[in-house]
Amino acid sequence: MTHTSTGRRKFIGSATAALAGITFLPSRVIAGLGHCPPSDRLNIAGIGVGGTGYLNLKQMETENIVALCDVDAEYASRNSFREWDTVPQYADFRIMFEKQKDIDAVMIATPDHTHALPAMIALRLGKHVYLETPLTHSIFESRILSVTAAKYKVATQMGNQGNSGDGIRSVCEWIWSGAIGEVTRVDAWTNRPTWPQMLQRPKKEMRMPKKLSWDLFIGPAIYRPYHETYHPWNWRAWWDFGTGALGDMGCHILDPVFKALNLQHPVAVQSSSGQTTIDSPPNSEIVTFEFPARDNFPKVAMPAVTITWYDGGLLPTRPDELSDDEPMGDEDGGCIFYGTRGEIMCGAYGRNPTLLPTSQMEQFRQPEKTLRRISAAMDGGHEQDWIRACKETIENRVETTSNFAYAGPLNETILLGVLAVRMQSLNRKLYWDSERMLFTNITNEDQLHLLAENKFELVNGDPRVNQKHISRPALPTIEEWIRHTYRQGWEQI
Amino acid sequence: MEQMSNKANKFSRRSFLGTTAAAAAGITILPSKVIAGLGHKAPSDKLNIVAVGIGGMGFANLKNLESENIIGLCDVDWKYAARVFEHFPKAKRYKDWRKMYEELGKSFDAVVIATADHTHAITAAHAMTMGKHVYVQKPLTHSVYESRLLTKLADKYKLATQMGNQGSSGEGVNQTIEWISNGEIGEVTKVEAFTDRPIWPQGLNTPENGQWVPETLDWDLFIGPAQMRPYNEIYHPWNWRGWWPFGTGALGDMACHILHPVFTGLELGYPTKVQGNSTLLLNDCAPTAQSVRLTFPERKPKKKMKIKLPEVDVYWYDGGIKPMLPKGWPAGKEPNDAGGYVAFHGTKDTLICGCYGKDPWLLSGRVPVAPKFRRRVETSHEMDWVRACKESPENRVKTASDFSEAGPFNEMVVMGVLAVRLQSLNKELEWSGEKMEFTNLKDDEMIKTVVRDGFKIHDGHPTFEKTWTDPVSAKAFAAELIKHTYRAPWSLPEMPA
Repeated sequence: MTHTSTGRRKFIGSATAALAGITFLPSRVIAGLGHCPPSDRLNIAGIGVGGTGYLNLKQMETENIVALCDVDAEYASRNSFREWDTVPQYADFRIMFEKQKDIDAVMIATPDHTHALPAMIALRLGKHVYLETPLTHSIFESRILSVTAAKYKVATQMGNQGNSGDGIRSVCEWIWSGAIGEVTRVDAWTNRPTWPQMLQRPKKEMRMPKKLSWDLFIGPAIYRPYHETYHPWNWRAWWDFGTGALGDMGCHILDPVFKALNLQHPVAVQSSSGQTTIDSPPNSEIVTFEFPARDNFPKVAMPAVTITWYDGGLLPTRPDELSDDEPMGDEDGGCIFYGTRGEIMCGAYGRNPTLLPTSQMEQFRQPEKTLRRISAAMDGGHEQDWIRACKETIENRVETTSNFAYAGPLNETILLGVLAVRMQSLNRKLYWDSERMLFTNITNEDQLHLLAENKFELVNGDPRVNQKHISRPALPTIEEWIRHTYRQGWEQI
Repeated sequence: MEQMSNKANKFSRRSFLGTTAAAAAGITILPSKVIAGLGHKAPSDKLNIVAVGIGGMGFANLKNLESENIIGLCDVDWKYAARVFEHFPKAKRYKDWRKMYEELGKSFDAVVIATADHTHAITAAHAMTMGKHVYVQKPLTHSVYESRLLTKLADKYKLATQMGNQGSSGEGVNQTIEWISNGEIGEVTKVEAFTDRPIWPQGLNTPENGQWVPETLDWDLFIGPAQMRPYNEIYHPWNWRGWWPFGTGALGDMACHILHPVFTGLELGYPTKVQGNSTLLLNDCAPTAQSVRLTFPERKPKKKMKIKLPEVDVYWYDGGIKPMLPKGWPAGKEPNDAGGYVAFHGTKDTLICGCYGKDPWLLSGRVPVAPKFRRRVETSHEMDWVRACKESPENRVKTASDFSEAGPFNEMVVMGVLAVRLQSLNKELEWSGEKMEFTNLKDDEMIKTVVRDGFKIHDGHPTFEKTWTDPVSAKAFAAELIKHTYRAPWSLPEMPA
C-alpha cells in the first residue's frame, strides 16, 4: 500500500465532476447520478469490517467488494480480510478514498465515534452510503450527514435492518388506519447492555497488538493509550467511542415508534440511570422523551406523545391487557403503543406486532398493505434494498426507508437521550430547541456534577467507597457533547 | 446431623420455655429488679441489655444505650467486634446468641439485634418467647413469614419492640404524616420513591472459590439458618447485604427508612398486587438497580383523617434510576435528600420528602400548618425503646416503630424483594396478605434464574454465556422466599394463633 497524498481538493474535484455529469470514471456507473441496470454490479467498499460490518458485507456479496478498510488487520483477518483476500486492504479510510477511484458505495460499521467522518467524505464524493446504527456519535454530526446526503442525492441507509421488515410496516398501517386511536404514550425497552458498562478507565497501558493502528482507531476523539477494554469489542461502554445501550438498540427499538407516529424532534427529555462516570455509560437507564403534536393523518390525529425508554433489564409496567403468560416484547426488548382506543405491542426491530389483548387479533381486519414490503428484511433485505436504490436514477429512485432524511431525526433523538443521561445532575426536565441544537433552560451558572472516579475495594473486609466528583460548567460541556471538536489532524465536521 | 439437631433443639427450647413460664407465673426469682415484659420498672432503674451482631450498626445503637447496663455482647466475628468488646469491658462475650440467652437468660431484660438480615428473626423470636424486649435493626426480617411471626410474638408476649429505622422517631416523619392526615395534598393515589443505593457492588457472580475462614470468625454461626457455603470475604463482614441468602439489597437497606412515612401516613397494610424488574437478576446476588410497583387497595382510615384512602400505587426505584421529576419541579433542585426521595401525588398538591420523611415540602410552595397529633420523641430512637421497656404493658406508650407497625411495614419492604426475584414470571403478582401467598401462580408454572453471568472477552471476542438454575416450580420457589426452610438445627418458635 503506497500512500499518495491527494487531499481535500481532489475529493471536491471529483464530486464536482460528478455533479457536472461528466463521465470520466472507468466504472460503469456514476454514483448518485448515473443509472445502473440492476444486472450491473456496484463497487462497494467496507469500512470497519471486523465485526458487524462483515455481516453487512456478506449481505452485499451480490455486488463487487472492491476495498476493505479496518484499523485492526488482525481482527479483520478473522473474517473480511480473509474472505476477500484479493481486495485492497486499508487501515485509513482517508487513504482508501484517495487511492481508490472505483468505489460506488460504502458500507461503514466502525465504532460510533468514527461513523460521521468517513460517511461525510463518501457523501461529498457522491458515493452511496450504508451506515450502521447509531448513525453518528453527536447530534451535530447527524444533522450534517442528513443535510449532506440530501445535497448529493445519493442512496443512503442506516443499518437498522428492522426498518425494512414487515412488522414495522404493519404497525404503521394499523396506527394510520386508526386501529388504536390517537397515541399519547409509548413505552420501549431493551435488555442491553449485556456487556459490562460503568467501567473505570484503566490506569495501566497495554502492549499494542502488532496489526492495530491505534491512532486511527482513536480517530477524531481525544487520544488515550491503548487498552483491550476499548477495542476490539467493548468500545460501546465508553462515552468517547460509543453511546451505551441506548445508542446500540435505540435506533432499532424506537424505529417503529418514529415511523408510525411520524416523529421528528422531541421538545423535552429527562433521564435517570445507574451510576455513570465521565467516561463510561451506566448499566441501566430510563429516558423520557416528549414530542409535540404533528400534522393529522387522514384517519388519525397525531397528538403530543410521551415516550419512555428503559434499558439494562428495567422494564415499563406491564399493560393490564397483556395476560399473565404472555411475554412482553421479545428477547431483545420491544415497545408498546398506548392509543385512545387500544394498544399495539411489538418486539425489538418492530417484530411480531400485535394488538393487545392479543385475542383481538382474531377478529382484527388488518388494513390494506399500502407500504412496500421487502423480503427477508432482517436477512439481507435491508442491505439489498439499499443496493437497489443505489442503482436507480435520482429521478426514479424509490428511496430506502431508513435513508438519512428519516434516520437523521431518529438518531438525533437517541443521542438526545444519551445527553439526558449524561446531564442528569442538572435535576430538571431539559427543553430542547432542535432548530438551534441547544437546550433552552440551562444558564451560565449551571454546573454539571460528574463522577470522575468510582473506586470500591474491600480492605480486610471493610468497604472503601471512593468517589471523586468533578464540576464542569454545563453550557460549554454540553455544547461540546452536541458538537464534538475533532482531534488535530482530523478534518472537522 | 439429624441427631445433633434434635438434641440442640430440645435442649435450648426447654430452657427457653422454662424461663418464660417462670416469668409468666409471676414468680420473682430473678435477681434483676424487673421481669421483662410483665413487671414495671422505675425510669431511674437501668435495663440489662445484651446485643447480638455488634461489629457494625450494633455498635452505633449500643452507644446510644450506654446509660443502661450492657451485660452481654455476641458476635460471630470477634475481630470485627473487638473494638466494641473493648468499649464495654464489663459485658460478657459470646459468639453464639443461643449460649448467651442460655447463660444470661435470667439477667437480661432486653436485646439489641443488628446481625445480617437473615438472622434477625430467629435471634429476635427466641428472645421474645423468653419475654425479652427487642430492638431489631432494619429490615426487621428477611422474609414475609418472619415479619408476621415477630409481629404476633410481640403482641402475644406484650413486649416493647422497636425496629431500627431511627427516622421514625424524627420530626420529618411526624410532619409528613400530619400534613397528609390533615388533607394538605388531598387524596393520594400514587407515590414514587427512590434511593441512590446500592453504592456498594451488587450483581456479582458467586465466588467460585472459598477462602480460609479467619480464626476469629465462626462461619457456621454466621450462616446460621441459611444454606452452608464456603466462606469468602465478599459476604462478611460487610457486603452480605448484596447477597440474597443473607441480605435484601438496596430495598432492605433503605426502604425501611424511605417508605416508612408512606406506610404509616397512608395506613397501607398488605399490598394486593406487585410487580418488579431490575438489571440482570442473579440467583444469589441482588441486582444493581431495581424498580418495583406495589398496589394497595382502598383503606378505611383507622384514625381520624381528613382524607379518604383510595387505592394507591407505590413505585420504588434504586441503584440510580428514579421517577421523572414532577411537573413544576424547581430546576436544578437535588431530589436526593439524605439518600432518598418520596413524592406523594395528591389530588390537591404533591408532597416531597427525603429519606426518613426528612424536610417535607409541597410542590406548590405552600407551607401547611397542620395540627401536631403525633408524639415527639425527645431522646433518641434507642432510648425511646428503653422508655417503653420500662413501662408496664398496660400503660406502655408504643415506640415509633413498634412491631405492630414495623412488622406489616417490613412485609411491604420484603415484598419488593419478592417482586424482583419473581420478575421472570412476567406478570403482575397478586398477593393475599392474610394467607401469605401469591394467588395467581399456577401449579405447573416454572421459574429459572441466572446463576452466573459468563460474559467474557477472549482475544477481543465477546461471549455471553449465562448459566441458569434448573426450572423449578414457581409456587414452591415463591413459598420458599416467603417462608425460608431453616438449616438444621436452627428453627423458629411456633407462629402464635
